[in-house]
Amino acid sequence: MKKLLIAMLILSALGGGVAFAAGATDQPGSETYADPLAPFNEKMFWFNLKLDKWILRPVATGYADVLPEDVRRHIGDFWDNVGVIPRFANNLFQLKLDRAGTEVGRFLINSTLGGVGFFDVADPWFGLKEHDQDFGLTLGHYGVAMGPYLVLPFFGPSSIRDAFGRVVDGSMNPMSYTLPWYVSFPAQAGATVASAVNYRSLNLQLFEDVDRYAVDLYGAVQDGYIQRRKKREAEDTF
Amino acid sequence: MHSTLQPSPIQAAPRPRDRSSGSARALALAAGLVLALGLAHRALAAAGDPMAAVRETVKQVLAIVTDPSYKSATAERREKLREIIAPRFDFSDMARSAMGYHWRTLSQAQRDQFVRAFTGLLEASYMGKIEGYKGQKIVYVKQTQDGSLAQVNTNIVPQGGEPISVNYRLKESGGTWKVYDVLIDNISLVGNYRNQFNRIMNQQGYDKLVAAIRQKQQSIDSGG
Repeated sequence: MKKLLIAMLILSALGGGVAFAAGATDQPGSETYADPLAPFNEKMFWFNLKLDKWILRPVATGYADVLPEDVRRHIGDFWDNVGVIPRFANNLFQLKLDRAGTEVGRFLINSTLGGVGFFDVADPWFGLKEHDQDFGLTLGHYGVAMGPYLVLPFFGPSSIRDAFGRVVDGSMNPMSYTLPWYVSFPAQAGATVASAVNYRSLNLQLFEDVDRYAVDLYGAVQDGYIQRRKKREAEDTF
Repeated sequence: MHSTLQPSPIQAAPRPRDRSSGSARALALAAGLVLALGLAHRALAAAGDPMAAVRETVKQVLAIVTDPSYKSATAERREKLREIIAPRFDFSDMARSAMGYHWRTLSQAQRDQFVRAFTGLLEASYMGKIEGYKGQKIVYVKQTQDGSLAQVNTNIVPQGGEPISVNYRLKESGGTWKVYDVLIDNISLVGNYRNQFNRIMNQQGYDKLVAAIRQKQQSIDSGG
């Protein structure tokens, strides 16, 4: 816990408030973002774009040709169910005990009645809705600002705070402390790739649309990430 | 909606004759209140209900898009769509807002040019998307109103797919509700363009931005 506190302090010093440049117009939400890591971010963005173009998208397209959409949605439900631990833990960290409890209930129901998680029956049958959470949001809940925008290789848009959160959430994976690293590392990487391909296959049109309508793709993706995270944060502050 | 009782405010305003009389003053106050409420009601009635406004525009748009007689007349259909869309969207407000704080640095001629270019891009995007309409269900979820501002939440439900939320932000001006932003999957369209435009303005300047917007519009149009 002490380590966590120190990490939080370092982060808040680093972040120093979400960096906003002067937003001069009177309309709410008319601010623009400062992007001090832009040189790095743009390189990573370009790398991810190539990775998507040459590998992820073709693989996801082929995968989508083989598996019907319904099946892929259920595979998505499966991966969602597997990711229960960070959701549970972060709801707990934010003292949202009912939501943490709901996550446990959902996991137990979907892992059994929902056929090892391939069917999300907890929502329609028991009215238990998923409450997505991650450690970045937990830090936000306790007042840590997002910090500078950061594009991660492979994982895409993030921020200094959220990238740290990602590491914390990843370390909660039971594989990482029950199995030796040379088993757990490839297994986790494999799971990440499999769920990424599945996710990408379900969003072929979305990615295409963003590319099609954006005048500056980097700026569109950056803003999309920041708007979404800020909205999530606003929902979380209660 | 805006029919029967529309008294001229000047004629209807009762003047308190006796300033010393408390009851007369109360009466005048009450009359004033009734009048004020009446006027407010009238203004609302004139603009109607924001959800009804969105619904009406969407209905008209879909009627055109699904009309088989326009099938081979794309140019005519676009003209018709433009006529329906134009009064419902405040494109110049969207353009000004998307330009953010750079707006102040533009000359009047640049502002006009930019509004035209951005309007062209938004129209091309919207029409390109709506022309691909395949019978998706549009669900009107709710409306919230705060004075002359309103938000109408809708969901677009494709067959067998996840619903996508499309929420319209409207402002009442001149007796009509006009859309000044659209939230797609909770991301503000105008806000998203603002970040893109800010980057281009800072790195490449105004002329490059307008060129990029026009080029984008052309690529959307040629892509169908």
